[in-house]
Amino acid sequence: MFDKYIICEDGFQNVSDGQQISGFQFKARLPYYRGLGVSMVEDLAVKVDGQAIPREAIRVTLHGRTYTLAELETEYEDRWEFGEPGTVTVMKPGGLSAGAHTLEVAPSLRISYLPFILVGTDAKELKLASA
Amino acid sequence: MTDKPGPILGTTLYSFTNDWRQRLYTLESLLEKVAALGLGPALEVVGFQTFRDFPDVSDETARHFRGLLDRHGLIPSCLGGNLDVGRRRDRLMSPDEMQTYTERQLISAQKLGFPVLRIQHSVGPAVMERLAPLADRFKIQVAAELHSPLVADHPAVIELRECYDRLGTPYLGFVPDFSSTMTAVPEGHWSSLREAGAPEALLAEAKAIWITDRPAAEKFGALAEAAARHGAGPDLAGGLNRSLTMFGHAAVSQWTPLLPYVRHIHGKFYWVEAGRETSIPYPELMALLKGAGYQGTISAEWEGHAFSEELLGFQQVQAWRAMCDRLLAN
Repeated sequence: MFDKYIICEDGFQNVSDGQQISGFQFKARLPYYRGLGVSMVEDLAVKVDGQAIPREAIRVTLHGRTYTLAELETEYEDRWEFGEPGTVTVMKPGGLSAGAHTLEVAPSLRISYLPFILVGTDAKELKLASA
Repeated sequence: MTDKPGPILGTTLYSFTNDWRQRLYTLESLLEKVAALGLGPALEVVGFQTFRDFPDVSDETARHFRGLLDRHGLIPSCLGGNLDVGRRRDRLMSPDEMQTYTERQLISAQKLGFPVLRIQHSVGPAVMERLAPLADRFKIQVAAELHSPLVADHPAVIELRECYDRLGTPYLGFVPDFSSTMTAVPEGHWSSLREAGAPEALLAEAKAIWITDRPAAEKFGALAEAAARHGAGPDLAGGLNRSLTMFGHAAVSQWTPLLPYVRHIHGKFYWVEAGRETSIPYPELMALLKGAGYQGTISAEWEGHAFSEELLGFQQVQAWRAMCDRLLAN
C-alpha cells in the first residue's frame, strides 16, 4: 500500500562534492500510514537502470540530518514522518548521464505488530534535472 | 422510562489516510470537513500520523489542536499511540523502555485533551501495572487495542483483564475493534491478492483456512504451506498473511466480557453499501452495545485503504454513520 508514493517526482539530480560530481540523489517517502522511528527502516534497496546499488553507497537525509543505512539502524529517537520526503543520496563518482533513468526503490520496514517485514517497491522513470 | 444515552459516534482521521497521503488535505482542512459533514463529535487521531513532534507534542502543538477541535465542535475520543517494541533490531524493548515510551505518549494525550490512549496489547500486564499511577493521576485510560485474533477469551487478554481487576483502576482498559468479529474477509482484500497474481485455487484455500477455528499459529502455518505449494513469492505471501492478521471471525458474544473495561471502540469497516457492511455484522454489534448500555465512543475506522488508493474515505464514513445511526435508533 502506498507504494506508488515512495519515489517523488521531483528532486532527481546529480550532486557535487564541490570538486566533482560525486553521485546522484532523489526524494523518497516510506510506504506506511504513519511516521516510524528510523531504526525500524531495515533496508532501503535502490536500483538504477536495473543495477543494484551497494548498501554502503546510500545515504538518507531527513530534516537536515544525514545517515548511512547502518547509522539509521541504531538511531532510536529520530523519525521518518508520514508523507515526509527524505533525500536519498547515492555515492557514485561521475553521477548519472543526462536524460531518463529507471529508479527502483524498496524500503524494508520492521513494524513490531506485523509478523513479517513490510517491503514496499516503487519503480519510476525520471528525467535527471539538468545541473 | 427514558432511553439511556447510547454510544457517542465519531471518526478517526485514519479513515482518510488516502486523502491525506495524496496531500489533498491538511490536519486543519480534514477537521473542517469532518465537522461540516456531521461525522463528529468524537474525534480520534493516530499520534504518529498527525503530529510531527509525537511522542512529545509541544505546548504549541497542543494549543493549536485543542483550538481546532473547539472551533469545529469536536471532542477528543482516543489518541492512537504505538509501542514499537521492535524498535531495535537486536532485541525487543525492555520493560523500562516500554514504560518510558508509553508515558511520553500519555503526557502528550494529557496535553491534547484525549481521555483514552490506545497502545498495542504487547505492553503486557507487568508494564500496564507500572503505567497505572500516571494514568490514574491524569485520569486518562491506557487501553490495549484488541485486533484479530485477540478476543475476550484469548490468553493474552485474560492476563490483562486479571491485572485490571487486581488493580481496580478504571484507567486501564481495552480498545476493541470490530475486525475481531467478522463474518467474511472483505472482497477488496481478495481482489488485491488476485491483482498481485494469486491463483484462484490459492485464494480458495486461503478462504477455507480463514473460516476454520484452528489456533492462529496453525492457520499461519497452513497458509504459508499453501502459498509455497502454489509458488507464491514473498510479496504475495505477505499479502496472504494479512488475511489472518487483519480479519478475525470470533463470535459477537466475545464482546460482552470486555465491555466493563471499554471506553472507546474502533468501528472498523471496509465496505458499506445499501446500508450494510458486507463483512462485519453491524446489526448484532450495535444491538449488543445498545443492550449493554455502552456509553463510550465509537470511531468510524475505514480501512479500505489497505487495498485501494481510491478516495472513498469520506463517502464510506458517511455511509457508515447513516447505517449506525439507523441501527442505534431501532
